[in-house]
Amino acid sequence: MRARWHYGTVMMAMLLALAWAMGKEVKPTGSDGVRLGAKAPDFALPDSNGVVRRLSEFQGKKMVALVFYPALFKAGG
Amino acid sequence: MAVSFRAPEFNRDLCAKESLNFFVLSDTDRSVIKRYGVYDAQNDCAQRVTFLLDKNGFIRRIVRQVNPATHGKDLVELVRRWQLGESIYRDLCARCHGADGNATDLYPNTKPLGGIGNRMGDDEIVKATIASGFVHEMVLRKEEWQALAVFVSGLPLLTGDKHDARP
Repeated sequence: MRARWHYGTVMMAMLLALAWAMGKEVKPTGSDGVRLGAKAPDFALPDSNGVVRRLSEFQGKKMVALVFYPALFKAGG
Repeated sequence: MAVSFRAPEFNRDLCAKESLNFFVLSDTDRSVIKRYGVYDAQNDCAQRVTFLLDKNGFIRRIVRQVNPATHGKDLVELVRRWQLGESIYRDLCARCHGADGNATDLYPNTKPLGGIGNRMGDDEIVKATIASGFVHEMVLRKEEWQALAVFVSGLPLLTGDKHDARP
């Protein structure tokens, strides 16, 4: 009976430790430095006319929305 | 700007069809999608995630719950709230916290706020920083609190030793 009680206590402690560790875990905000407050990594990609656009060419002007989407821009994709 | 793995030809048709007034970019090898941590390996494409960058290229907001039916409208609303938050921050917070949230010479012991949204949600930011700061809650309406949280969540991180300092 006594041993069982200990077992339960140990289990409880482990669960609490797990809950604590999960609470401490930083929310995933992207790989390697891509997170709030960080500088967005520059890139160069072709637009719909095949003209290569760099992210940095839009800097110093206005805010930029970088919209990633699966396959289709609107619903369903 | 919008990024997917689709080829430029596909995007040209898409732009014409949807009358899109911005750049639709092709990341056919998924390298930028992966760099930004939004790669959906199961479907080999990008997740539906929006990054709002300020004019200096800092990530100020990351939207992971994007509704494809309303995201144009939602984005306009987000920018409006961010700008409202910016003006409130400038009026009430910047004097001590600094324009970028990383303290001023006048109040050097103010905890840096840069990147605070990586550790806290908006409600927590309101509770932990705004409500415990010197701005009395009576000063702001609920909508203004929320706008302020939107702005504060993505304040730029310091570079160097004070980088990502914890509150």
